[in-house]
Amino acid sequence: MLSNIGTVLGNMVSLEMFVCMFIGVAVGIVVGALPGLSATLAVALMLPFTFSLDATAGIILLIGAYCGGVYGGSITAILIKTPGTPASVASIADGYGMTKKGRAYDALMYSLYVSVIGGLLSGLALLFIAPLIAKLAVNFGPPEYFALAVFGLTIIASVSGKSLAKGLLMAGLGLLICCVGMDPYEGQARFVFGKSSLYAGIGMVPVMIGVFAIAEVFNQIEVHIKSVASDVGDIKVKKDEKFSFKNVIPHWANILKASITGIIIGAIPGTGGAIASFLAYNNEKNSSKHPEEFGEGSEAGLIAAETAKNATTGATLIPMLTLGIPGDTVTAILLGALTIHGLSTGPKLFTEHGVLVYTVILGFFFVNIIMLLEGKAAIRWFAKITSVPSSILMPIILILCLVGAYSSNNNWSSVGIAVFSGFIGYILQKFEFPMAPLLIAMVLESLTEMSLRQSLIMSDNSLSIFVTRPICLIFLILSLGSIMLPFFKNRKNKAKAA
Amino acid sequence: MPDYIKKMIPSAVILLIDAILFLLIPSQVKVLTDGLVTTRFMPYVVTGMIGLSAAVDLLQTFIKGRRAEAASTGKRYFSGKGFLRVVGAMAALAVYLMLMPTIGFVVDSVLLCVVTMLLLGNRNVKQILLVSVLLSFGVYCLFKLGLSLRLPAGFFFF
Repeated sequence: MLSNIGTVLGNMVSLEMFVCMFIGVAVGIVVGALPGLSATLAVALMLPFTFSLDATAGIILLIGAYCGGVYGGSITAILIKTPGTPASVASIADGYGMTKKGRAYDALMYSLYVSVIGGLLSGLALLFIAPLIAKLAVNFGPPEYFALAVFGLTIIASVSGKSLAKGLLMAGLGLLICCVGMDPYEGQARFVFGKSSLYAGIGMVPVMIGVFAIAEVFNQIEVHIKSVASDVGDIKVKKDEKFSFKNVIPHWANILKASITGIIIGAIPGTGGAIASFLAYNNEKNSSKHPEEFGEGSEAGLIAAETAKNATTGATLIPMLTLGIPGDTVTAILLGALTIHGLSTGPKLFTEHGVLVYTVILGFFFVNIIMLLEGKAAIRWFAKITSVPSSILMPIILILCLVGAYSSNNNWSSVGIAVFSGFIGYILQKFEFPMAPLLIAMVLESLTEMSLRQSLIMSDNSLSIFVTRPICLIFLILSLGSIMLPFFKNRKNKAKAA
Repeated sequence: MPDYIKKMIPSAVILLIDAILFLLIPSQVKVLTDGLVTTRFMPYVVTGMIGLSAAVDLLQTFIKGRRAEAASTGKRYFSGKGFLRVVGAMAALAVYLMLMPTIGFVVDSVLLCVVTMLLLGNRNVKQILLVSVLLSFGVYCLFKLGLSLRLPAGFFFF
């Protein structure tokens, strides 16, 4: 690596590279912010433009779109309670909570800074310890995936709010929604009731758009708030208002823990930002001295979720670059781009195209810095969205949501699902049913079921496979701890109060 | 009606639907193989989980409500006129979905936008027309031309 550093730096310092990075990040942020669209779509949109570029510039353009897209979902989640991507759902409660307290600018800046820090730390992991992490990730078989999914599901206890029963009920609904369609293992139809449109299942994106965004539109129609700003008071960003890196420093422990969570989860193929952000949020809440503040506009909650989410971006490149394994759709597109440019993917990529790989890794760092610059320039304008009258803002959100739901699988039945989910979400939220467990369960259902069934086939229906494999056992113990910790903390607090 | 009874309604409805789905599993989910975990495993576990959670929630709400010093009544979860506006919005969305294949995305979205702005209390005619038309065309251009996403076309080819 060190012998090629001169060549790598030389490759990076070119107008083409910087233009690619700027455009990639900008497109990624805009697309990621739009509900229903995602970082995956941003990367897919940029792919045709890479054909006329050289391999390195093309990959950098895609990575810019990816990082920008992952970050962009937080903007609408924080400002108008509408997540741009599933990975931003964990940021809604505390991000929008801060907006309601008149701290939208702070929330956006925290999100930007910690996203960049998380991204840069994952870039360091990619640069220095990629082979080690790849080795760990490859040891993940179906039992480990099942244990990870169970661990992820225990977060429901943390995000259920006041009623665990309601949280579990919503998680059950999420799991049930994912059961509709074809069974992932045997291809048998479940709960389709003869409708051909249900064979493909009920997508997570339309449901997410419905229960968060469209439900909020219905809420605004019911209560007739003039604008978000009128509800919370004047949140206009003053010209001399400053937010700097110093504001973030006190949260260094949270950022480090969340980054590590994001890097480990991101390196495991098939996981992603949503799982990482919820896990980090849960960890921070469990270790916080003021867990009651989480979900009501807590900086720590927002920081944990945002850091972990963006820390997955570099980590997902680890199995892709070291082993040629695409962990998700985005890395599959990136691998496709490499193949289109005539590069052989797989373990030999580092040895046969070392300069390109290290240029891409270095480019990842530059992309995150450019994201900081573009984000800082745009955030003052983003915050103004909350001053727009609701009678103008809500129809814009509604139309974008409907198109976003449609774009998830190019089918108008998804729009119907989003609208119906919106109505159900609106009603259930009135009765204090939390929506986050629904989404967590939907994210984890297929991983849980597939890995469980594969594990039992491997072990000939013996459950001991889950306790005889070390990584699996560790996750199951963590799951137990995750469930028991809030109970012990509660008892301790009650004892103190008495 | 005491407030705690009103609070129990959603869980009761979910429990009822869940029970129906539980009973429908044998007819709706066919099994090809034998084993500990089959195609029906997840549906049974999940419907069981929902049923249990709903039952616990009903019990908790009932017990807390009865224990409260005075059974409060009169809490309104939905404001009367406001809920009617929401129903109106739902109806507008249903009509939007039905008309989409016929009149196309742009015209349909203009109509939906007009209705939504009226429901949100906007009575400025110029603003309503300007926002509706600009929004619908803007989204159409962004998605069709910018993102190459096909949107339904109607009589006017958009």
